[in-house]
Amino acid sequence: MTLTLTDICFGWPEQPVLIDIQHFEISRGEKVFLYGPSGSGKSTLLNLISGIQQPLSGCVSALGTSFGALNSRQRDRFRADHLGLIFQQFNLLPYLSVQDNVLLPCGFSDLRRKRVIDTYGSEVAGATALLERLGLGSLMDREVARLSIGQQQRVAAARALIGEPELIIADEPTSALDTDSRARFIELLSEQSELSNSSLLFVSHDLSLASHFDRSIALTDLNQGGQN
Amino acid sequence: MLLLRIAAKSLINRRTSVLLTIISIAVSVALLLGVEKIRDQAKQSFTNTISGTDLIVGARSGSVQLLLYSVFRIGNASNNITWQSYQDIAGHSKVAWTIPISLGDSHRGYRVVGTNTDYFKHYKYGRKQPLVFAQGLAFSALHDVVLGAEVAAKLGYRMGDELVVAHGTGNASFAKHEDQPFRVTGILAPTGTPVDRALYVSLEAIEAIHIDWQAGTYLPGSGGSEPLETRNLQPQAITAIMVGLKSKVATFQLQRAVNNYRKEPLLAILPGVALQELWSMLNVAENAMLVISACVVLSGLFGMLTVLLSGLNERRREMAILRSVGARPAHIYCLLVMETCLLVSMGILLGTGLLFVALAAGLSFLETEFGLYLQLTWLSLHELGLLGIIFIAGLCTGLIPGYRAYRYSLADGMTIRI
Repeated sequence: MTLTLTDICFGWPEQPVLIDIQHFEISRGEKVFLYGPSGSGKSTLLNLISGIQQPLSGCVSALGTSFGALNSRQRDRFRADHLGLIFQQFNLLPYLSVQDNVLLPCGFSDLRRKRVIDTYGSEVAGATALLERLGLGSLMDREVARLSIGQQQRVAAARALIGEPELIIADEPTSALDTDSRARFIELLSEQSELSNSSLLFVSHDLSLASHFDRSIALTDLNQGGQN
Repeated sequence: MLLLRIAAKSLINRRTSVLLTIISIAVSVALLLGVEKIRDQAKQSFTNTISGTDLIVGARSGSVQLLLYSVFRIGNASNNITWQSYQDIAGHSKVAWTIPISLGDSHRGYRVVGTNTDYFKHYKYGRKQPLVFAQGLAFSALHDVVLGAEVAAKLGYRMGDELVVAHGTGNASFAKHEDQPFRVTGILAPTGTPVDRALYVSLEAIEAIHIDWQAGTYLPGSGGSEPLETRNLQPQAITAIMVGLKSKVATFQLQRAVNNYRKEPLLAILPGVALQELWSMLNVAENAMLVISACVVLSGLFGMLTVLLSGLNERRREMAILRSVGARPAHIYCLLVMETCLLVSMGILLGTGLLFVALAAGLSFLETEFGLYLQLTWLSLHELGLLGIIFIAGLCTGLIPGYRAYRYSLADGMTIRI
């Protein structure tokens, strides 16, 4: 299993429980669509999955490692090694080049850097190959600010994919794109996740995107907490 | 290294506010160093004013007062020394040489010093450097005058020029000894000491120009009609004596002898001790300057803190992105502290550069306008220490935004709240 949530419960002190999930799992290479309208506790869930926050009870485990057994430093390291994240918008550091943005995770994870070097020979070659696969080969040295939003999201995807992390989490990455580029981006992302042998968790409030994925699940069904 | 690169690029990205911050730190650093440098060099040129002289003897007053009027030519003597006392001291068995000094007249704001040619022979400054003539020679005729370097330069006198000495020491004296003009026969090389700011004539000349003066007023004919050449122009009194001894060991012995002199109340001081005493009086002003420039540095650092803290909120997204790619809160903390270090280092480098450029440009101005002789020396250990303190203070300042960013990144996680 790439990711398993068991009986997790989370809420801020003296506030109603936000997250109450009995069971949720993603298997290796699986592409899951998670329907999460706003207010459904989506951000909190993502913080729990990425180990930034700890559940009050229950267990989050990824790749057989239980987060509860790790301290925050180890969880941060685990995230750096095994998780690729894509946000809604403004994913990139505007003052770094496209290439430097893509290579950021390698700066924080020896494992991912090693994988890139083992496969491509050097970090730069890895970044180039990945950007080419995403159709951005010519934009390596372009300033981030001069990229279109669609291009920026593809650079973000390249950054999430570099070093082949086991799980890619995409949080509404297409909400700033128009319908055409949306479909293309999702196809590209799932194609590349397959190539990297990564599982994909795609979170969106747009149910029409669900058809692109192996499995679709609604956070509102999954989560017993936060209903008010 | 990655963090350092990110920090540098992030700073370059915010170059306007960053540049302003660096400049404000640089200016405060330059100011602090400048004050230190001037203080240091002023002290040095101050203590270099006189050397080789073992004792200064004057009428009994305060030691600082005696030093001020005899060496620095500031203020006036309260009383004179009789010629007889001068002869007694000069004839003492332990005394190697003496320089008599007679003050009281001036020329366009510069003091006129009545002395003898021993002044040019025995007066030493700095590291026992003797006085050197840039042009001409010591006075020999009665109405010869030797000019200090600054007097000649500022007033534009050349060899052979004639000038008139004014009675009293005011800047705009109306009572002038116009009946007896002096001719420039020598100009001293610059020394960076009060020597440059005086005119030198013989004791006899001082006596001669005062012949027709009674109690501070010019009464022509009151001194008699005898021609100058046949008069006895030996003065009745002088203002002070500089004394060189045959052996330093005798210094205190002679000092005691002078202080206990029976025929009139005299005071003998050790120039080094009196200089130290005077400098410690100036210490208050000196320290006040240092405190003010330290405050300027502090305000520069506060300015930097303001810029960093106010920019932090806009940078929460940047931190969330870094968190998402695996940066730990500790990394974020380091990033912010590194940014501060870079800012402060740049400020210090720029400030030091600024100071040297300003000094190089203003050196001759300071020299001609204020008689302040600065040397372009490399930073002293003390100044490097000050820079170190500034750096550490900056580093400590950086801990504050660092901590704030750390808290943010713990609380925000990877959700971007703007």
